[in-house]
Amino acid sequence: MKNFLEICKKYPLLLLLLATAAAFTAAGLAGKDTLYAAYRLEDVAEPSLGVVFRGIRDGVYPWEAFQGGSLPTSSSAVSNSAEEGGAEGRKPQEGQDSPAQEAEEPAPASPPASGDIPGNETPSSPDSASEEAGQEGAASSGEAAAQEADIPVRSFTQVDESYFEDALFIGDSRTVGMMEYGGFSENTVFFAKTSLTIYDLFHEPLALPMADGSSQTLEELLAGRSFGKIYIMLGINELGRGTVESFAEEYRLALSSIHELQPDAVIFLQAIMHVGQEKDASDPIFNNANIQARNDALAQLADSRVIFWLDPNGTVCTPEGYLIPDYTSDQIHLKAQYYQLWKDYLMAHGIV
Amino acid sequence: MTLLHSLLTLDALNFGSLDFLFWCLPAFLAAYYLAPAAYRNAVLFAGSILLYALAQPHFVLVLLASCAVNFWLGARLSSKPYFIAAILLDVLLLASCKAAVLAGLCKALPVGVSFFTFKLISYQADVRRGVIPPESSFLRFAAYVSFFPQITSGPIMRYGDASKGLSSPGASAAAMEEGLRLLILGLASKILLADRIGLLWNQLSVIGYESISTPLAWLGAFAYSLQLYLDFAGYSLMAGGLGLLLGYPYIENFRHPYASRSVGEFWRRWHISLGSWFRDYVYFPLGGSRAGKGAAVRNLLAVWLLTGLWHGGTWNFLLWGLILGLLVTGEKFGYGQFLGRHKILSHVYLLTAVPLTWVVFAIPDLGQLGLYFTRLFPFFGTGSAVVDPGDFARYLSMYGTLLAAGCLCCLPVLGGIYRRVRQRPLFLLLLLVLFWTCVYQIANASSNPFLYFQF
Repeated sequence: MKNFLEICKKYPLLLLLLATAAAFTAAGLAGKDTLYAAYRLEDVAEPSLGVVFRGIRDGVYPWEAFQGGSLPTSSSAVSNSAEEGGAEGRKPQEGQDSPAQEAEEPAPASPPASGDIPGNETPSSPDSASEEAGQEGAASSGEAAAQEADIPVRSFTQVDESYFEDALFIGDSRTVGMMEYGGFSENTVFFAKTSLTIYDLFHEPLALPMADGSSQTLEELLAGRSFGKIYIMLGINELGRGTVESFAEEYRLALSSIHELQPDAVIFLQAIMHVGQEKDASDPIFNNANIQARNDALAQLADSRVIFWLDPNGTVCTPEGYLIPDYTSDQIHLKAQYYQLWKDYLMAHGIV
Repeated sequence: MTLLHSLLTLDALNFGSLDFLFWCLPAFLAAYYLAPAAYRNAVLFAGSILLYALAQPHFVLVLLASCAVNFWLGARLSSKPYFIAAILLDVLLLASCKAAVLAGLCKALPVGVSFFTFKLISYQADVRRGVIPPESSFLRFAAYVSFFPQITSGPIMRYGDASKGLSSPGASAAAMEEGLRLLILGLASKILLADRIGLLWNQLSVIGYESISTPLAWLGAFAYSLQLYLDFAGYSLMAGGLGLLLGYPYIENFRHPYASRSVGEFWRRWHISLGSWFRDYVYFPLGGSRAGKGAAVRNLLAVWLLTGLWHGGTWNFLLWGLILGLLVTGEKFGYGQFLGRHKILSHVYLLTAVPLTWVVFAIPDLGQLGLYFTRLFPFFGTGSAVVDPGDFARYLSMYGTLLAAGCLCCLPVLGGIYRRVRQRPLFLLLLLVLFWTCVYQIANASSNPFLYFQF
């Protein structure tokens, strides 16, 4: 005993570190197949306490690992890592090597839904490689679809800056760039944040700070005022999550929620912007094949009546579909001065 | 998943990885301290080589061959040709590795080649001058050269400093506790501050330099200066802490450099082991300042151009070295005394000049570098590109707290505070919290490489 006290006195920090490390490791091991089953990295021999800290990020606390051996009731844990990303609760983002992602890659775009809206014309966007797939819409379901059958197919016209006065933009860091460098008036509203995903809109609603200082979820924003047009570009952050089908389905649900809340707004569904050639060649997830697979599926959601498919890639990409090297320094985002090209494209594709 | 496979994926020499902190280091320390003292150098050598091999299997032979050849030549230094051969071989190894990478012949330098060749040169020169006796044991020599706490990025420990640790391997309780404290402080500096402040600098190139406002360009230069310091000084603290854990003396590599009042002083307090290396093995042998003003200027410029080249082979590094050489020469023979008389002015001078030199250091493309300087000094010509005048306020609100914390870490007063409180229980608890906060950050960043790179 006296000996032990002496050691404690001599090595206080070492003992504190060892004791806490042992506790975290024990939690990681105890919850290995239950609490932390979804957090294990497949190809990496991570120290067992790693999962504990990734759990904490999602609100899964280590003491839960010792509370019985059964699956946790907490909605913040997911039991199966191969499960689709839209499952209840927050799922950890898989590492690059996770087999769940590998499996997803070859998945084909979802087949076109049966043509329940006949007489559909392809919008006149010259840039989209995916338009040939047609625009048979699965965008809205049930009664909404019936209503929209009355709305005629509309085609794009050139508009000016004032068109954006009652516009809402929804998107990730690319749209944040548009907000910062697009030169929009104060009236244009942005619901945009780096790393925003389609799941953050309604599924796991995320409140974002608005220009007036308030913090609102998309639902609150849409319920609070009306917009003439709503632009949305999301999808690059989701590439490592779910499958093409599950992603498109989540997108479809989000679009129909948006339409429900803003029945009079024109919805512009924008293709996910491509990445540069280096990124494309080196990244197993964030590459143009994966982006295009999802774009092809998204294009099916447009009906050219309420939801319009826009593909600005043609204006910022090489003929091979890579982001033009001079336009980007990180292979993913446009440099500030090139957001105008994207904006010009949007102005050439107004619906009035 | 085989054991071999998991071993090969270990991030073995990255002190800021869970693999190092929770696999490699504990396993090594256990082996080191379970072994009888007589075998600890063998454990150190074997462990260093193993970690190196795990990090870069194909280059471990370069390290081993380097050790063997230098040991053999080092025992024959009484004859001048052997000495010259040793120095030439080491310089040639370093130069050819750098040239091969520049020419695209290989992707990466052997880990730490810039550092272990400098260690070898210092060893040969010190033996030749009789500062230290030649090492008679290959094991001790190789353990010094491959010493894993310093292999990737220094400090460049002299053989004389290492010999105490090599002759009686093992640390006292007090040294171990101090080692752990420094390890945690260094880790926190890197993980909690440097890596996060670093995002600001990345962001500027994403925007495109032509589109950043002048205030943001300056904020970027300061943020990058802080990031470099917190990263490298943090790493050096970790390396020093690891050395202490094994019973080696602490090698001070940074002494609050941003509190300096001249660029010359800055470089005596920044990466100290490199500056003193160039002083002892290049500047003095060239004659230093003894042979008159002209020779001194020549020697200074030579040292600084070599310093530039050592850091990297692209033109900006040469330019960077040249600028530093001119500043140091200017201070030595020109305005240095003026700086000495004006306290505030000299601090303003340093905190302007050094961040500008770091911008040159950071941007390899000379066209982009020029562009950045037109944003720093817009009267040189303004681009017609889109600039958001609100960008400075936005980035300041995003990074203000981190930058303020980083600035606090530059204050010399911290050293004194640390020495007063380091034994207090409350401070130990703070260290514990810092450590696990770092682990939280690392665990989430490594499993999710996009934590820092979300779009």
